[in-house]
Amino acid sequence: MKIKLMVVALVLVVVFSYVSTQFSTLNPVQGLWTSAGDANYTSGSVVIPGLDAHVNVTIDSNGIAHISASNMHDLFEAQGYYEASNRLFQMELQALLASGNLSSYVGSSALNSDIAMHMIGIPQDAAKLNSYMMEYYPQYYNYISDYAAGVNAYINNSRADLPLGFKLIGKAPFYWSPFDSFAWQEYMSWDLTTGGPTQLQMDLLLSSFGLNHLQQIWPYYPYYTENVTMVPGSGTVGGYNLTDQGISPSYFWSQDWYGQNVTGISTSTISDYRGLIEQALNNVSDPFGFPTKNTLRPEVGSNSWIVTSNYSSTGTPILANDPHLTLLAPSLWIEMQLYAPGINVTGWGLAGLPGILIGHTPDTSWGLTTPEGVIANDYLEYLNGTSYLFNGSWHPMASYRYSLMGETHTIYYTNYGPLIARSGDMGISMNWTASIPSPDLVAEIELDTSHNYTDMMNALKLWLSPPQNFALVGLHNTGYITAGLYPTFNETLPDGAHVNVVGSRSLLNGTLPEFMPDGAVPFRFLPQVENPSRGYAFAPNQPTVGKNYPYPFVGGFWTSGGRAETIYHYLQDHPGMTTTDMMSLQGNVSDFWASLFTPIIVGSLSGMHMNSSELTAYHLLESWNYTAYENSTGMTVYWYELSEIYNLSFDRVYAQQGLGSMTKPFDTSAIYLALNDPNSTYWFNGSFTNIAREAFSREVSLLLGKLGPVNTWTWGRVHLLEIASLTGLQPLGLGPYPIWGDSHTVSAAYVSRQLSVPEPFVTVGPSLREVSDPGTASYYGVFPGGPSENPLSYYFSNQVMAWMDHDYYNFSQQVTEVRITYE
Amino acid sequence: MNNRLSAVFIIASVALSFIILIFIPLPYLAAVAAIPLFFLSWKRALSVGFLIGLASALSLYMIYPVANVIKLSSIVSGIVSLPSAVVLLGFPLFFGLIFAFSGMLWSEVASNIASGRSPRGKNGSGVR
Repeated sequence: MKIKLMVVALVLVVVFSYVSTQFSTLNPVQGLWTSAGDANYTSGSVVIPGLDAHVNVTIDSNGIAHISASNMHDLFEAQGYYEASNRLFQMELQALLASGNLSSYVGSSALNSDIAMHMIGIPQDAAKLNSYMMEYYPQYYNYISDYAAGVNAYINNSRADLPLGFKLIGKAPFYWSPFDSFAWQEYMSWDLTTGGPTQLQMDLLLSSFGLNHLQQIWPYYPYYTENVTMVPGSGTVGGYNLTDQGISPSYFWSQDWYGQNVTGISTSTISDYRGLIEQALNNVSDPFGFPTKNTLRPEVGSNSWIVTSNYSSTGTPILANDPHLTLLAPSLWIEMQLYAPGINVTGWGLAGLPGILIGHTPDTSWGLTTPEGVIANDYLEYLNGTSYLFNGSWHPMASYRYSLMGETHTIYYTNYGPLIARSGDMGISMNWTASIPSPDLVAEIELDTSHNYTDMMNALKLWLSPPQNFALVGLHNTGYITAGLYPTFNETLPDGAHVNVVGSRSLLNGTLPEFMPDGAVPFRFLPQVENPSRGYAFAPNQPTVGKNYPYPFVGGFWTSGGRAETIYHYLQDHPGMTTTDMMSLQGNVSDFWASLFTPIIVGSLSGMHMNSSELTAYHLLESWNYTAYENSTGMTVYWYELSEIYNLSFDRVYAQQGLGSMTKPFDTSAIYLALNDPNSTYWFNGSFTNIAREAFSREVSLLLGKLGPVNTWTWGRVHLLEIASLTGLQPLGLGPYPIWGDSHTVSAAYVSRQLSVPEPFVTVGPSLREVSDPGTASYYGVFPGGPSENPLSYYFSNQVMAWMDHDYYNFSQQVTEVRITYE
Repeated sequence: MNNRLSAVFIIASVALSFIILIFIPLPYLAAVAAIPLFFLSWKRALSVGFLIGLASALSLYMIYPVANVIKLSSIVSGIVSLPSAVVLLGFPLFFGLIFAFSGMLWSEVASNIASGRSPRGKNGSGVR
């Protein structure tokens, strides 16, 4: 009996001990629960090796850190330490994602992502940038090394109590290096790159629809896009334009920019290699990447505008910026002030990169939006084994080998760039400007130390990739420049004229030397304006210059510009702008395209036989004021009507051609066709009116079934925001929250147009809002997050509700909550 | 063995339990913390061990803000698809069970050793 009891006890002890190993990370003292104890900040001191002197860090009640050091070396090391102490898990996950090494953390599920990163060239380009910076900008490389030293000091200090993310996945952090920062810079460049996958999509659409139908839905310049944004006028920049080259803009833009004479490839050849194009598109689509790279993504962009001192009530220029990015928890941004002799900058930096990317000094401020001009072109390559054909002769391809999970992979390079797809003797390579080392971090730190408009312009001469519309404001001057490297190649027009163009709309023939980029738009001819005479300028991803621009953006995939129209009309009607007006405009949720489309739809529905629910919905739509507030019912009726119209028209045609995952036409194309080709057999089955009516009946039936009575169909029930975790783990994110706006409102909340109730979660929107008036030392900002990555911390999401309410924090009125000394 | 001495051994076991939980929180080390329970009958060792293990592990949650513990258990339960209660009680429960059966084991080992030298007390219950 005794022996039996002993055996039973022993067996149970062994069994429970074995099973309990699964629970060891849940132990209350050293397990992940420690994250519940140190969730918020406490005053005190921290020892960081390598500092020359004490660094004071105060964290204010808004969660903004103010880091004050006695020299730049200490400042950047302290920034690295502070960011790591708040965001180490995020930073390392991002670095692994960017460097194509995520599978080392999460296993084979990340293999495709890792291969995509190498195929695009992100880790290779980051290594190149690392060497380039070390050689040509040693002073700035030292800053980046200081930042890495700060990160590693935190890693050493936190070995006994790792951040929650590491505990959850059971991994230890790796030591940070400048390469990791550069890898993230390259990844963000890719995220903001126009071109590459875009032309591949266009080729698939072209081979399916033919040129005429493609042009109907994807014109070179979106319909209703007037040149109202950055540089008013015909397109003359620096006193130079297309006409000066003897080329008429109307002649130029009447050409077929998909044709063989401008691409070296016939449409039939493109059709022959459809499978190859699909393969390339698939290969560079990162399954772990941000939703913005999804081919189903809605039209996304960003906002910025400036008003001159003559147009503002304060007599000084004012700037507003809200870059629209994937909204993540924690945010891509981290907010702080960096102070040392020679630098005093406040704003938002990208976690993992030193310095402040968007913000202000005491004398200047700046903001960024994406210009949407192509910087990645695709080339059809003729291959023979490991050689490629160029200019009539065969050349050996360079190769790059790397290993993932014990398996060796090889990327081959032609003279244009990496092969992103291959089928037999044909391949597609991608030429991306970010493969040229871009000292963006130098430009950023120069901005961070700028004192006036000229300093900022000089800083931006160093900014190459990705090109950005920089809104700039000093104490007295304000303006814009689309800074960056725009490669050009020389095209010959049918009349024999030659012109340097930016980008392509289609695959280019890689064997022909004429499509090799052989220059770039000179800095003085980049789109730019200083103190615009009309008093304002703005850059929400529309064409920034007119069609007479001397370096035509053939590869320009602009957004449709509903936000631009709203901004334009507001600024036009509001001379004497104040910072409050700027904020008000940032919070605007009017859908300009809806104001054009709704009357067309209502006109089509009028006279339709309706049941009582349809009649109620019709009256809601008819009386709707085109605003997308959470309590708006008209917005819901409009959005689902439009979704059903798309479903019956464009989606149907796309699906018939096997293109269901491709980006659908902008609303402007639908409006244009409804007005100008309402009886289109191809798109509308012969009658837009019939499509609109059938869509309406379907919509009402769908929403009645899902939401109940018509008057309860508020936008906030179907339009929800999720601020997701980069890990993809829903419990680590925020939301879903009912959210205002849509894809065309200034205060944007982008949504894929799909017939689900609710709609797919909004995942892209204003990643921060900034309003700056350096002349009166007035600076305001807010972003949907907080400094900490610990979901238990108040500082994980402390600014989210203010962001949702379109409230702002005044940077100059902050109360210190915590004081920490780095020593 | 008198009650005072048994109290000393139980306190020693509790102290060992906290030392292990704080410094080397491996659940199977509950077997070490249960050694002082050898003098109890196997039934007592089983129940007292379970109580000491469970209570000492659970009590350590009190070093954190309750709201954060509840929120974290909710997050982890969402990730691992287990109820929050399991996430919260999992470790203490296993610690308590290992503690209990280890106590029982030590009790029986001691009993066997003792029975080889002298007759044991009331078999199966109470203090030996």
